[in-house]
Amino acid sequence: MAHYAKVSNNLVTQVIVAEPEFFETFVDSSPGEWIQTSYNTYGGVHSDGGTPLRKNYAGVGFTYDSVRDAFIAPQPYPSWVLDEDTYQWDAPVPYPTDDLMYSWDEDTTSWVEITGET
Amino acid sequence: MALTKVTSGAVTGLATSATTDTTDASNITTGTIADARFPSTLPAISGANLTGIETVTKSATAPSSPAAGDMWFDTTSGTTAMKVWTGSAWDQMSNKFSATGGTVTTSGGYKYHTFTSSGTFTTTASGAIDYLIVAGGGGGGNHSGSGGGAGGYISGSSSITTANYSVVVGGGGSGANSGSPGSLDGQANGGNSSFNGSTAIGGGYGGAQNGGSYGTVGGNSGGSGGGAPRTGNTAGSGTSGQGYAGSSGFTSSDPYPGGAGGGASQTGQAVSGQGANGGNGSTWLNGTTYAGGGGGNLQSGSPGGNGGSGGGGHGGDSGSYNQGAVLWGGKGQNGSTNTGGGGGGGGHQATNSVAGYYGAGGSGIVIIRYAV
Repeated sequence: MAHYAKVSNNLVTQVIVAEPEFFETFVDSSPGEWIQTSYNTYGGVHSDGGTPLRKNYAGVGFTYDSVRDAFIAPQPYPSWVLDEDTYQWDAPVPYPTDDLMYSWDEDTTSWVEITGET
Repeated sequence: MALTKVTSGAVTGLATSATTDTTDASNITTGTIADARFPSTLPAISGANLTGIETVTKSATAPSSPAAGDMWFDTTSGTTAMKVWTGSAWDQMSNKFSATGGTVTTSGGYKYHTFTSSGTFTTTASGAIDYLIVAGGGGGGNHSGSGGGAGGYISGSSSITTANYSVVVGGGGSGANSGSPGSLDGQANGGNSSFNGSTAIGGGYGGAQNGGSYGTVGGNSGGSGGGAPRTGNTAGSGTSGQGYAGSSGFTSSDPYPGGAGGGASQTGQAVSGQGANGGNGSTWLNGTTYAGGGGGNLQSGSPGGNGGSGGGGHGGDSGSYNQGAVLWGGKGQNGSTNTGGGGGGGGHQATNSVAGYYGAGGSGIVIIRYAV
């Protein structure tokens, strides 16, 4: 089954299941255009080993970058940067690798350990 | 001398036809009366005294206490069809409803048109239908991830006329894209589904935990609401008549349970010692249950929450998935395809290397049925 995202002003407003011929007769008065997306594509990888399409499966609220031909989720924090390979957002500081649990503090742009009840 | 008078009976040996009064119809015993002997316009006669003829009731209301074989011309606007009583139901004989579109099956006296993908439902007459519209389920969240809400569930009956009806099937909402703890990072609401002016709203995405004072991403509202991590956080609400709210987790501390998405018939269910269970879905006329909420993740200990009946994805179990990196809690499962089930919440990961780690919502479905 193919999926299509409705993109208006570069913003995804709807995601549906459809085949290409559906749009030959579908009467749609809402602004924007339908762009195909892949349910199984995340971070530029197709989870079933197929060909990835437009980097990420589109979600309502995502943007569509026509230059990069990629669907991109909303930026989690202002300091996070877009990975130009996966088109996902990365923290400017790598996550610690000491098996403790951390959360991101945008005020200090650092990872802060979660120590208990909050 | 001319013959001026013949006395009756004086001539013998004549044929009967020569002596019969043909103006008396009772004397006509053989042969066929020629068409020309009939007037071009027959005289008006009343059928009131005719017997042995089945009558037809012409009304917008069905005859009461009908016998098998009784006929009724239904004058209801939009129907206007001849019907016959079978002994148990009125069977439409004329202007009979039929349609094309979707995958067509017949069961239990009904024809079903199932749309797992958007399409067109084309009718060739007016008639009564039952319908089900389920939107796509919401995506699961990350980091004590909460389950996505089920897609909105609408069912009903209506009369429709001859037309082409667009059927739109909503896609499942994206699960969180990466392991960004505590952020809204790619989990999305499901897509809306629609038919004949009714729209089922996509399920709300599941929320994500953040520690300390850094806030929490609650569940989003939708057809059914997405869950919220741990207790005290705000889960998404459902849409009235379409689904229920999500739940938060059972506690606010270790084992950091994720909340669960609401379903078509039940809110998400917080449960001690595990991720919250997704709210159950509803069972339609075909006997299948749709639109279950996604279960929540559990980051410390196990297990994750169950998906609600009707396709909700299971929340990730603690330690059930290990990429060799920093992982807390397992992979959330996707909501089942064409159920509108919400995606299961997942744990968090330190890298973005695990594609689809958080459950995506299941796509929606539209089914239309009518009696045959």
